[in-house]
Amino acid sequence: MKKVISNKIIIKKARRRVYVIGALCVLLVLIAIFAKQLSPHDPNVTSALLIRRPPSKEYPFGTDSYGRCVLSRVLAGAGTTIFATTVLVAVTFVIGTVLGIISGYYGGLADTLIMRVTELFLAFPQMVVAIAVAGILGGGLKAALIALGATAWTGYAKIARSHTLSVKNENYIAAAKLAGLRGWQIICFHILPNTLFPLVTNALTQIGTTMIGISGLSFLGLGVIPPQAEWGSMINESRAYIQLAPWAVLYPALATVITIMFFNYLGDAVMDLRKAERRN
Amino acid sequence: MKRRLLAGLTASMLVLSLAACGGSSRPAQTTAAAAETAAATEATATEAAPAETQPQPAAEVSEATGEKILKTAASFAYPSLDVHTEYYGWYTSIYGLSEALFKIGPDMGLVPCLAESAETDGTVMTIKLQDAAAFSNGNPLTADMVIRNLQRLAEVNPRFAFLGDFDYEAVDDKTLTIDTKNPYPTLKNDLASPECGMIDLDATTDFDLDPVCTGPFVISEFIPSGDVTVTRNENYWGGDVILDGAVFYYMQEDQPKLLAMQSGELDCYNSIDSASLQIYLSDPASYKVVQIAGTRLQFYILNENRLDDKVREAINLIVDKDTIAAYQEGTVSPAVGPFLPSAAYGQVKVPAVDTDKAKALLEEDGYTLGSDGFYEKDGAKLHLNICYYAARNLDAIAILMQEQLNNCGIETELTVEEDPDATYIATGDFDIALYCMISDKAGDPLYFIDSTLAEGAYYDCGGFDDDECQAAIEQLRIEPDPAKRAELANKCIQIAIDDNAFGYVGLFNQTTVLKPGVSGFAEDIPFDFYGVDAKTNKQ
Amino acid sequence: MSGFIGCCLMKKYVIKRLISLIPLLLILSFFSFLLLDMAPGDPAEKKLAAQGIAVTKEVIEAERIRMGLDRPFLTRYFAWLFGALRGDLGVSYKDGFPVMGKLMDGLGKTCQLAVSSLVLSLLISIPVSVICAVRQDSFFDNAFRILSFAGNSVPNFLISVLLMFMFCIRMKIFPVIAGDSFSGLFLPVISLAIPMTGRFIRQFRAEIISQLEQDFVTGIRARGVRETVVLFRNVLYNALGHMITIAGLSIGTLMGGSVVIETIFRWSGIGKLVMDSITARDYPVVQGFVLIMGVMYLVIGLVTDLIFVTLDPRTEITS
Repeated sequence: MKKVISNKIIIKKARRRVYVIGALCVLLVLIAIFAKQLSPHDPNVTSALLIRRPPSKEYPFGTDSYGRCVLSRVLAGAGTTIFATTVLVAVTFVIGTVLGIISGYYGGLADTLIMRVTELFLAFPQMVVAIAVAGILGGGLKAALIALGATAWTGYAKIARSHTLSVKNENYIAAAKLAGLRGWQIICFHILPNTLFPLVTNALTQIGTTMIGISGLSFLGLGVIPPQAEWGSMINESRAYIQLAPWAVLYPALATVITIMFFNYLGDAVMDLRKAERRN
Repeated sequence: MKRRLLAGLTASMLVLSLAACGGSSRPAQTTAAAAETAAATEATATEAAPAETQPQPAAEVSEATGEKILKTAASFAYPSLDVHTEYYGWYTSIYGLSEALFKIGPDMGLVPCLAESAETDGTVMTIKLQDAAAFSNGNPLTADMVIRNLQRLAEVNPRFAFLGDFDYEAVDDKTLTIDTKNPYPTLKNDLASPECGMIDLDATTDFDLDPVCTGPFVISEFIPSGDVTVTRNENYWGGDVILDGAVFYYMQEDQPKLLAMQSGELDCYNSIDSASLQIYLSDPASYKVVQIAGTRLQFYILNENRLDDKVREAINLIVDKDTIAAYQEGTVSPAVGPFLPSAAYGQVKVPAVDTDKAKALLEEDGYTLGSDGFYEKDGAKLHLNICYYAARNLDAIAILMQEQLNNCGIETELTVEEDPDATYIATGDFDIALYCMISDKAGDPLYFIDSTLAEGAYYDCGGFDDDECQAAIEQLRIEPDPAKRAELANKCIQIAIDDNAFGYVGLFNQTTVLKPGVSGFAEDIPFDFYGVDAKTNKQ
Repeated sequence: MSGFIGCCLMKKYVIKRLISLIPLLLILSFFSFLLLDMAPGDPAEKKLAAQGIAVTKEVIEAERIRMGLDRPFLTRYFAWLFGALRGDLGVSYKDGFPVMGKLMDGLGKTCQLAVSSLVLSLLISIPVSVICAVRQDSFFDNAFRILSFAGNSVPNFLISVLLMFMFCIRMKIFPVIAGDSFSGLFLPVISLAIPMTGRFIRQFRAEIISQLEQDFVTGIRARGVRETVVLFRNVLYNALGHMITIAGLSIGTLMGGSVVIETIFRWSGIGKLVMDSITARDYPVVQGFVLIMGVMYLVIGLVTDLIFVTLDPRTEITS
């Protein structure tokens, strides 16, 4: 027999969770915004004498193979990485969800067309896009994001569509139609809430995938242009020296993991809160 | 009904994927080692058995039989062993399979290989072959075969098409003459190129997979664009071959090479990256490292069409090559000119780094320091675009140059392109263009000077144009005396340096790491196309 | 009777989808040809300048003409297209081997990695996600939440290097140079499986939870059905459709090959092949790859959609 916990207590716990994790995420963003003020050194200054110094009081995260302060570069990279990633995820989330719901709800020609376009983009090899776009636009973060975004939106579209199809024929949708609600109202108030959970989970997973994708592209030589600091390319640059200066790889990797974790946790907490509140 | 459909769909998916997996590894091409037969018989190629047989890791093979097999890593792997085509000859030479008439020695001089001597009289070169020179199947190397080889090379390789213009004659079995019709002083050097390796054209049935050559080793297993295994050529004309065989693993990435060396799976390899180099240097008991100056040059082109003389001079006074080389930690030597300082044609002078003089020059040219610390003239900031591509440490150089220039008040921005030859080199859309290429491919300065300084040269894209230099180049094309050639070369390069058309940043060192007891892996020759030979040893 | 009609509708749907493959493949191949052509550089110049030796413009031009690269874009595209329609994907610009052969070899090798890592991931992620969903917020759930985040947030080239270092140098279980043998399969498969497992655990857990919350589950429970039966017969069955969609998306990416894993572990799969071909501007190989991958994605997409429709009775085949 399950213990029955009062709903009010559940909501309170959930709310507290959201606040705590939310505060941590805001802290991360603030650190990214105030990176320049917080950095002990200029992230781009090189020094032949300080190559690969282990962490010390003056260089808390040590130095990399150009003698640059790893802490300062991690802070500088926070802005680049977090900003680029959230922009891409937001854009692809909106595009993919809208297209997916339209496709599932209205069906017919719109569905066929959108689904074929989705398949087209999915079938297109990411590498070709990445290298070709980099060649045409010149390398850099913009080209990398376009290459990653071209396939990312399809995930949302497919998930949104499959869930829309699931609920489309439910009774309450029919009831809403009878009540005179128009298409977009039904979508916003009934369909969207039902599909939000897996979509947001996908979005949060995509934050991680995008960050990793950017670093993967830097392995191939496509990514931010040096000397711009960005966690993914820092990891790639320093992995050659992992046996000599593991700190230059460790700290950007740790920063990536922690950031991804915080955002994912936040999303989970928000979803839990909404669930608890709705049950009430 | 639905369950059955579901089961059917899943089953078919699984079957499809398994079918796709099971099928199709390309069978490795194996040749029966010619070593078996003492008599001269043609080597035959046999198809390997079903796709299931995979090459065993070499460790198992050599341990089982106690043979001396050298295990090394190659950074390229070509799909064919045809010595004459494209650059495949470089690798057949590295594998110990093919040899040319001459070989380049440690001091850039030419030493006899298949040829004993070469004498030039006017436009006619007389080459005498070694008496013992013979192919791995026992057939002797004749003058006629050499001529046919050179003619085939001219046909299949556009870079050697010029060989087709010459007149050849086989005086006797071991002597031939080449009439170049016009003076061609670098013929001997060109004949030392690995693409000029000799193939037994009559005995070879499959040029791509099983050419019959003269080298100390023969192919025992060749996976196109993959690993290559060689065994001793029992009929080697040049004497005893110490090793029983060698394996060349195709490894593109630096880290697996490092880890394989540390785990003992590799005996040696070259072209080491700086991270691995530090690890090897820190443990001299376990690793022997040989570093000699090489011929792969990192340099930049300054755009005369956009930058004034004084600005270019200032740039060259700011870029500190010693610091840049320091960051590359032993993999690169700072360059003065494009050639090795030890070469007779590498005697040029470059002014030392002088940032104060650089700033003075900029101010002379009308630039003033703005409030943000950068120079500007007539309201426009001095803004330089440094173009590079991400290979051969050029990205490191770009970052360091940017910092050095910024510190002196010159604003810069970096542009990375995937393909320099199709972008900034072709369009000339750059202020500073970084590039890396081999400056000396056969012990002679003409090739590099012709590619970068001559009128209309592909890499003369920065607008360099000097009549005196051009005249010297014309002379260099026909001058036979090496001392005079060196003088002309020095003159050309010095003109280019004085004109601040280029900046020669660094020359890649030829770095080789070897396990103790391993020697003879061409670690003392500054060229990329030598590897194992008869004297290579492993204890 | 309704089963028979359902079967007919399904057949029509499948045929419709298969027919729509053709214009899709046409558009796909056209755009990839266009994209690659727009990128600077061409195969002639890449081949001739391979070792860093400068070549004169005349030599490159002559080679271009020999390879037929001087013809206008559309001419080259249609030449390739007509060949492809006849089943002839041409030969590689780099080494002259037939494109189909090269791609099939690469696919076979990649397939081994793809299937192995997918199976491994599913074996781990399905039970873990079920337990996590059922015991939400327990220690198990939270522990695996952290592990799956961690696994999904480390770049694969870093995972590969760490695994190599750990297993080959420290623990000496595997040789570094393992290549194509069975023992060479372990490390790349683990490297591929770690991030995938992390992703799957998160997403499957979400699916199962959302199923558990449905009203019909309360209804079944109220009727006194045992929890395990509820779980397996109803909840999992419904969630399976969505889970397969998610896994299906992954198959597509896996079959495209992971350049990073294949390069580091020297696995001659299709990812590495295509990467090398793109860099060398080996148009026929890249075109062939796009075509084959296109067919594969579209077929896998169709199959997963069908499975999904089969499993979830509430959905229609078409709308």
